[in-house]
Amino acid sequence: MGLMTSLERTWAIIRKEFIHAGRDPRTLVITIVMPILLLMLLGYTTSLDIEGIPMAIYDQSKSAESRRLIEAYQVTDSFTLNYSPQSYSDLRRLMDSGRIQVGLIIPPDYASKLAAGRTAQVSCVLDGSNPTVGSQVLAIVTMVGQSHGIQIIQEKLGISVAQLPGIDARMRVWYNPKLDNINFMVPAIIGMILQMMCSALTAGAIVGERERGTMEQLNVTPIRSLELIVGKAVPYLVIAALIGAEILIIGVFWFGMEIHGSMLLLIGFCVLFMLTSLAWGLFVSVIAKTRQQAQMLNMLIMLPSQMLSGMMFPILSLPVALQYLAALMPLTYFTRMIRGVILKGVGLEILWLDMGVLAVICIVLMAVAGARFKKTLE
Amino acid sequence: MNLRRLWAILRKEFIHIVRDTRTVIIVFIMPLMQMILMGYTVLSDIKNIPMAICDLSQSVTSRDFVAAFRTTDVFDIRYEVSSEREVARLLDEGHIRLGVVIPPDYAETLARGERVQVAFYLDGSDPMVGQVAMSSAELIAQSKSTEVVRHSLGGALSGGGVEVRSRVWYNPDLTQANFTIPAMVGMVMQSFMTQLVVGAIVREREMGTMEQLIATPLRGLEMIVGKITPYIGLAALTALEILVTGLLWFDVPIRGSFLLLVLYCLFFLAAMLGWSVLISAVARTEQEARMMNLFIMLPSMFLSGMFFPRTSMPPVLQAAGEVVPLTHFMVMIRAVVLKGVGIDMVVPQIVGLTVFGIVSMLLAARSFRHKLT
Repeated sequence: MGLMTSLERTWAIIRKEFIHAGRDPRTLVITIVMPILLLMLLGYTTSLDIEGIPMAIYDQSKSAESRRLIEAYQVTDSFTLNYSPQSYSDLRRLMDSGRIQVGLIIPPDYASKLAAGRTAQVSCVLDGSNPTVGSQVLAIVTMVGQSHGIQIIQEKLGISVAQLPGIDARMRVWYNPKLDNINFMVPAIIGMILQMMCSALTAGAIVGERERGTMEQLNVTPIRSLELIVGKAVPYLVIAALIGAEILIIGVFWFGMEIHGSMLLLIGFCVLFMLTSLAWGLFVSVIAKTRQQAQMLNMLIMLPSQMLSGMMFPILSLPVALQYLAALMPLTYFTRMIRGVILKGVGLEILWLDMGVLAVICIVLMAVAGARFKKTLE
Repeated sequence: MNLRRLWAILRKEFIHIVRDTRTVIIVFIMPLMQMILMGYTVLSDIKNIPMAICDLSQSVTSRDFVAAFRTTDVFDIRYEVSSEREVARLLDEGHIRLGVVIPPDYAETLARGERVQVAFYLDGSDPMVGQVAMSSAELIAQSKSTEVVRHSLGGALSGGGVEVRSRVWYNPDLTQANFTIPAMVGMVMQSFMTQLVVGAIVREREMGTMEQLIATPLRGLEMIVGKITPYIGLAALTALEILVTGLLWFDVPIRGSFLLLVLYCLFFLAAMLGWSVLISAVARTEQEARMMNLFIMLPSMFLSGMFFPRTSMPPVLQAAGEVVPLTHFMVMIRAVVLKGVGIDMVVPQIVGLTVFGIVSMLLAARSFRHKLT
């Protein structure tokens, strides 16, 4: 009987919280549409593929040989040849105004040097503003030139590639063979959304109650503090879980992402992370007096954890101080866990430590928040 | 417009700002924190990618190949292992991002004048790191290959071929900070400006004090100008703060004129003003305004080519990017900071921003008048 009434009381709070959320349909719609929009954008705009980089070739040689070299650049999809400037200053202008990002200059003696069996030099200027693109363009430009050169030598000697010695780089990209950014982003967005929903919204809901002074009203009802916490948290956990599932489904069915590991493990990890975020939200709600303070406190953890966890940005090496900071962030562990399951398809045999640490953080936060929460209520 | 009335509301707004510690924190601490954190994440160059070498050949030739990976700072050889299985394990555990396996017959095959296959195992889960690792590794392999070809053909054709001499302009060392700091300035200016303006106007409405203001002899225009000016000042201050810390902390050189840079920033703020007022006219609560702002801000960040090249986007999204003011500002700020070119190179961008500014301002004025009356 006691359990029944307790469940009833919790259910009452849950219903109340859902009504609150439903009263503000605009926010609700944004909360649901936002992840879809985010995913679509990330899926289509964050590609680092080198495709159609605008290029100009200043051909001073104007010979059959130089046209062959130009062709060699054209057949790669990496560049689109948009301009053929007739002077160095034209080329400079094109670069300065950003209309091209690569310029190739073929010297007047290109054909004659090749005919004489000497090495012909061509110059290439490229826009290094974006280093990630720049370094790849640099590699492609060099490789196209080199392989064209080898081809010329081979033709001269009348032998084919297979007969020449050389090193073939057999690239095998694991976990994400097409280097598809969406596979990187889906776990990242899930992590971000779960954290945001579970900690920010829960803290907001509880602190808001206190701010409006309705907490006292709740205190005089027969509700117990645990029931209150559960009742307050459940609606947001449900919404967060739905959005997480929404992202996963779009990722899999729209973008063709594959989940390599066990689905059960994935769900388990997500639940653990949600509970940890929730614990943080509760912790915030006992400290903060106003919703604005709660927001600031949440930002204080959200921002660093998104940056330092490797969720969104590649982290290859961090300074020691920041490594310690990152080690305190639940998201750091969750990042490894969710990427491990989704992309690498590894299981607990590799991820047990991360899971253990996350569980410890969760329990500690829960205990601290729970103890203080009781006090603030009494 | 009456200057005394304008001054009154300006003063009131300044008092609000000083009283609200939150604003002060937003303006002075958040951008700094963001910058410093970003300094070690987004801004960090992709280098020292952890890798493992599994050299089964253990010959002079193979060691020569490995040396090529050692000399570049793109890679950091953390492990030297003796089996392919260990490479796989290191990849699974996330200790390395690239594993190179040199076959046992590497030296012999090359000596016989045949082609040899070297296996590269790459962790593709982070495409950004993956791309850089892949193109660098391919380049190393091809350069070595060319060397081998030349060597085996002997003196007969030691010349021959084509040599590409590349020069990188604007950012010769391909430093990430030079690319990202200017972008950050734009992003921070945009988000803080909107946040502050929206906060000022919507909060007034939410607290119900807007009616009180309307009851005063203040005119609509005086009120908007008076309320907004302090926040433009704050946003400009924040931008300057970011600009200075970014440039000093991360050593970003400004190639063009500093005056022009400041001018561009102010121009961008002016163009964004209409937008901020528009949001505050439409939104009912601060929460809603923040949501709406985020809803627009995120797409504009991605479409603007701030971090990712616009050339790789589908044509529809490239076109959509043209509408985003940040896109134009990115071109402008990079033109002055990185390229050091004058205003004549960014005329289309200036036209784009002007059109955006005027249109959004007109829309804002219309909806605001509608709201007030």
